[in-house]
Amino acid sequence: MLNPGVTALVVGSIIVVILISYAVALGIKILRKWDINSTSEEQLSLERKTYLVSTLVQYTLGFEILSTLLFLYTADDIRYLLVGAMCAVGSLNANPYGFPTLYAKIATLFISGMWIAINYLDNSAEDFPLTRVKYKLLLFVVLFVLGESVLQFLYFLNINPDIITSCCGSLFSEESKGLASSLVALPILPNKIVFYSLLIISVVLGIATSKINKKPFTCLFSLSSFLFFFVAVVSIITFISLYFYQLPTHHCPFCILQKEYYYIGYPLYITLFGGCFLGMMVGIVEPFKNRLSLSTIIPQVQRRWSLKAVVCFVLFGMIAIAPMVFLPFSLEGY
Amino acid sequence: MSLERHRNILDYTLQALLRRKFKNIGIIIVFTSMISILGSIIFLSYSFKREATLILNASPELIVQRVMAGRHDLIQISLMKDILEIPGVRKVEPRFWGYYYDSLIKANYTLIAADEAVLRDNRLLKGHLPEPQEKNVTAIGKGVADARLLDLGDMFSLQSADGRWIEFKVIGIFESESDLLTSDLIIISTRDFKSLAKLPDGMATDLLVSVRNKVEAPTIAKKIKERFPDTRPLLRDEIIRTYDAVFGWRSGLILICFIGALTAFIILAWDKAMGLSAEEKKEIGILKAIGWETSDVLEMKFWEGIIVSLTSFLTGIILAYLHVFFLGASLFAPALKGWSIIYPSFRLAPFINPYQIATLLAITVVPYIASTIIPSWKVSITDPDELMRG
Amino acid sequence: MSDEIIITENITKYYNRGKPNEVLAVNDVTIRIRRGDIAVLMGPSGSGKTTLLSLIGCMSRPTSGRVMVEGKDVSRLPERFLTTIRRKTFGFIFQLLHLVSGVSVCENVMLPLCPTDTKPSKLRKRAEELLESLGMSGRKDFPVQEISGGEQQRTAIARALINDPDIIIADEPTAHLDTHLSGKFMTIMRGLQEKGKTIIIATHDPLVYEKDYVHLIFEMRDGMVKHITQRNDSLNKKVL
Repeated sequence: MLNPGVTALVVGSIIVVILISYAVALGIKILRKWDINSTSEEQLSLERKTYLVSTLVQYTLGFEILSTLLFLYTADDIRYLLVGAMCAVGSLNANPYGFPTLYAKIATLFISGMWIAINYLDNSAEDFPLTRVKYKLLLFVVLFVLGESVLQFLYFLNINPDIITSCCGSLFSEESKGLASSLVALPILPNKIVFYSLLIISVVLGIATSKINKKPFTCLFSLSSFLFFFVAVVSIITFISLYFYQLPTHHCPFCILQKEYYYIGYPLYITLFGGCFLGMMVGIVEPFKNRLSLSTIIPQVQRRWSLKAVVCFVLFGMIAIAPMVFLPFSLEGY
Repeated sequence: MSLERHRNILDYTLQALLRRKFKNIGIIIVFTSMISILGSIIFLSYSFKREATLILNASPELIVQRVMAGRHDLIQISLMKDILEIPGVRKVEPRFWGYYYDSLIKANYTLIAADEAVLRDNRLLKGHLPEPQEKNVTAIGKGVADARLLDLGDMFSLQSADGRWIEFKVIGIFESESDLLTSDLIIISTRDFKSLAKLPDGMATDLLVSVRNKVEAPTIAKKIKERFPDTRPLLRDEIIRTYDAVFGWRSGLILICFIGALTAFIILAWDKAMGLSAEEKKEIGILKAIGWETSDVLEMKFWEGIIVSLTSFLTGIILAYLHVFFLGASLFAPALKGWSIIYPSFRLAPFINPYQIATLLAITVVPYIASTIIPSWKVSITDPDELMRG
Repeated sequence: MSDEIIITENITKYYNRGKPNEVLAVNDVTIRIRRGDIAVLMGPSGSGKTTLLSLIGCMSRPTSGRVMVEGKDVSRLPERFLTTIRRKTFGFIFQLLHLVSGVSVCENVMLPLCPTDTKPSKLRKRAEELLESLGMSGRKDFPVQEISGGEQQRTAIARALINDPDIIIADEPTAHLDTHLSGKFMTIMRGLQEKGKTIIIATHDPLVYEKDYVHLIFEMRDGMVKHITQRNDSLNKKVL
């Protein structure tokens, strides 16, 4: 599997694993010897090392974003090698590691983003109140990065051109077995109701949270953002994508990232990921409010994040609904 | 929104780089060369793949050849009737083709009889193709025309299987320089082909089988093999996959060789970043002393890395584009093409997509930026106090 | 609330603590400087003046003791916050000026506020105003290495003022200047003090500390303050 895209992904993964492991090694050292009240040169040196760790994690996040997209593109590119594969879905389905690699990459995106957000909060207070939390979280980041690199490597290693795989047409059809087809077989109307309701609820909760910064609101908003992520992905597969493809049978969530559909998948997923991530973070940082140095900072940050999340959700809704309104295709009768 | 801050730092970084342009020029030149070579490899292999795929997509789903003692042999035309009876087969046509060795310029041409299949697939042609029953006329590829200095109306001699020299009038020349498969073609009428090659009656080189539903192609291929065990049905999709794999494999191999060179470059970049000049160190010390934070200096170093690498990247891919699509990739097309056929001046249709760019970025810019992280950090944590104490 | 803008309490600073080349630069120093004072740290080289300046000016943290700037304890602050305070409150004039070579006068002045959200046009305007008030408008686009020593010093002063600091710190400002320029420098400082700024100067130049408008003189030796002279209320206070 010496495809250039595969080479790039594997080389990139190796680099990132090395960097993030180094970050963790530093993190462990920092955790062990950290004493904010000390003025020793060692403490100063540790404080300086925190800059390196945050740079390394930011770099990891940047690469994970690039690598997730590159992974999808590469899967699409190698479809010619696999009998039956017509797009990325078919390639990913060629062995048991394909989809898990994608899920792991998405999870890594979220957890790296979470680390960066917490790091930002930690640096906003004078006494580094979240240092221990942060460096413990770093251990999870490295586990996810390692996990997705290994899965990705196993995926490419086990690509066997002789095995016939299914394309998105058959994977996402009602006749085949498996999660994808059960999703597709869901009745559309209840699905639409759940999707729109949760979208509206999330937007309302987000606006409420930005105005009333109290625990029930922040936690509810966080929860609804989390749920909305899954509901939205399911909805994209079950009905939203159909309007973009103007076909009642084309359910693929990846084809909208292609040129043929004007790369509309990008703004769609960026707003979805962005909104859900920020929404979830609002609730995740709630327990840190009790730390004195963060008691004024966190409410401000929560306000900003919830507003940004609301903007993302609204944009996502508009992009998702646009083809339903502006294009002639209709699902009635299917 | 703190965009002003980022803009200001970026501004300063640009100015600082321009002040020290000679220091960075070495890195930029080396990096640009690496990227243009890697870019050439990737553009070339994708272009070939695409060309081959485009052409093959137009061909029928199955090619049936006869095999004798493991080697390709002529096939009986009478098999066409039997194959047509297989459910799902839409059409069967005989194909007449072979190779011709031109001892004058020591080159191999591909000789094809003009028939429906060839007529279907005709590309930019000056003149016209021979009709199936026409005598002593030929249409040739641009590569042949250039090599033998032929133009429309000229005479071209070919030696038949029994040693006679037969003259053909050139009535058509394929114009497209970008046509990989027509460049070395000689197309003559079916009659002429049979007499030139002394082809036995009732035999053809292979049979082209079109099917109604392409998903059925593997099934039909299996049936043909069962019924006629000495045949070899080739699936078009298999051919596409083979091309894909071969191009991918070849380009991957060359790429691997370059990874070694790239690694050396990354080490060089690291080394340079680590060893800052006294002047640069002083400048950063001053910045820290007058109020720049560690994160500000880190950002400045980040922008520096981005500017250097993106400049090299853009220049590199432009050079690669020019090299591949305007200069015919003269540097290493032979390694990728693998034929020993004449291709004196060869131009591919320009084809770039975001995937290739993203792949190139991931192989080049990403490792470069990674190599600058730790050196940048080391520099950014300069103690402002040190400057005070001189 | 006292109007003491700088208070240090028993501050000590070691360099290379625990290593063979350990140095005790500042030893148990307690000083108080009021808003609007012109204070001088006086002493021979190696007496700890520069280190004390860097501790007061939030450039480094003390090994022990407290430093209070405008009532806030800055001794244990992480670097990010220290820099914010330094950027907001202090303007530095270094002994060797430390202007960035190859960059113009105006841009040198703008540098301290470069990594902030100030609009570049506003920043430039402010820099030009400062340079004009110091008589430097004609030289603002010259590369800094092409102007005279005195002009370089005025550039350094302008740079120290770009963020409108409350406190100006100068380390041996007259060391490389002739009498005339030294006098000019002190005139500028006096002008700033009259506008409400606090000035702290480390020097061993009598042209500086013998000026009658200097309010406080801290005589330093071996990292300790040996004598404090307070001029305006004619009290001659001996310490140790």
